[in-house]
Amino acid sequence: MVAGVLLALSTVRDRKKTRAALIISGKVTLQVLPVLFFIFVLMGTIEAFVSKDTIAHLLGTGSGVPGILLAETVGSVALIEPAAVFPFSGYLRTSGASYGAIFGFVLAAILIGIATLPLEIKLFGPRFTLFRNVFTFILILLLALLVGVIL
Amino acid sequence: MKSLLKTAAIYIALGGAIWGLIALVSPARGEIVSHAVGDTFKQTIEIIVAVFIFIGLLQVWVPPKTIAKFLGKESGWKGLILASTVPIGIGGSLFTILPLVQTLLEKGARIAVAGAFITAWAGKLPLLPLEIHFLGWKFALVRLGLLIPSAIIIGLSLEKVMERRGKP
Repeated sequence: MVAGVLLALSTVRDRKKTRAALIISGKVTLQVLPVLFFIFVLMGTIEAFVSKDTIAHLLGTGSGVPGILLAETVGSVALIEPAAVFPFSGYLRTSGASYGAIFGFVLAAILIGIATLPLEIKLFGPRFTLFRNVFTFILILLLALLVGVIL
Repeated sequence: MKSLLKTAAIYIALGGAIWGLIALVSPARGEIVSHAVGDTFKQTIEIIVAVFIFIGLLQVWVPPKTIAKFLGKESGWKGLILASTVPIGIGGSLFTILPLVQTLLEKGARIAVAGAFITAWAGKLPLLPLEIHFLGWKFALVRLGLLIPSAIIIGLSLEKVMERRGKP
């Protein structure tokens, strides 16, 4: 709804720009939708083979620091589109994962990337890359503990 | 464009293969996968389409390059605070954001600004509808609220560590 209104507004203001925007939207769709499909299949696969109890045990409220560390590690290693992070997290949530662990997973998935390390080292040098990723990992852990208390 | 299609095909093929394999080995479990895929799709397709349109409009009306140029000019606390908040509105993945931040540094921005920029970009405002749908507005609010001070902390500590280099 809101997107439709914005789109109409944009068309009135500038047709060319709106067309460019729609082309970008199309490209993003092409880029993200297949990944989402893959993630949805993965979610279904986990649901079919791993019981909710196991997920709740590994990432639930009682899992504490090890649970957050596990979530963060999975997030860092996983090669996922940011847009796919939230559907997967929602699935983890309904399976009994704690908000703290989900917070760790979401931010690690977006901010820490094994896949982007080579690019980051090339652009910023090894020292910047090392400290940025380490600082981020530690800070996420601390904040995730805080989130566990708040939510 | 070609590589885009290629990657898309790979993901669809991979997902389809896993799905097919499971259905073949255990039809009951294949059914669970089908339900998960179908239900999630039905639940989210509307939000996803809206988010995609939003991302396109944002890219055109507020190009990331303009934001970077604007941030590169500011220094001191003002620059740091802007770098910890403005990037929240930018989309993209690390693959697109890292080169952007590097041009920021080349234009003379502080390391703290670069570090804060990358961290704040994880705010992912364009994906907010998805986040609220799946995790609730409380989680989204807390996450955003914690991210802004985090960006400043990461930026400043990175700058400290980087400046120590070269000194005895």
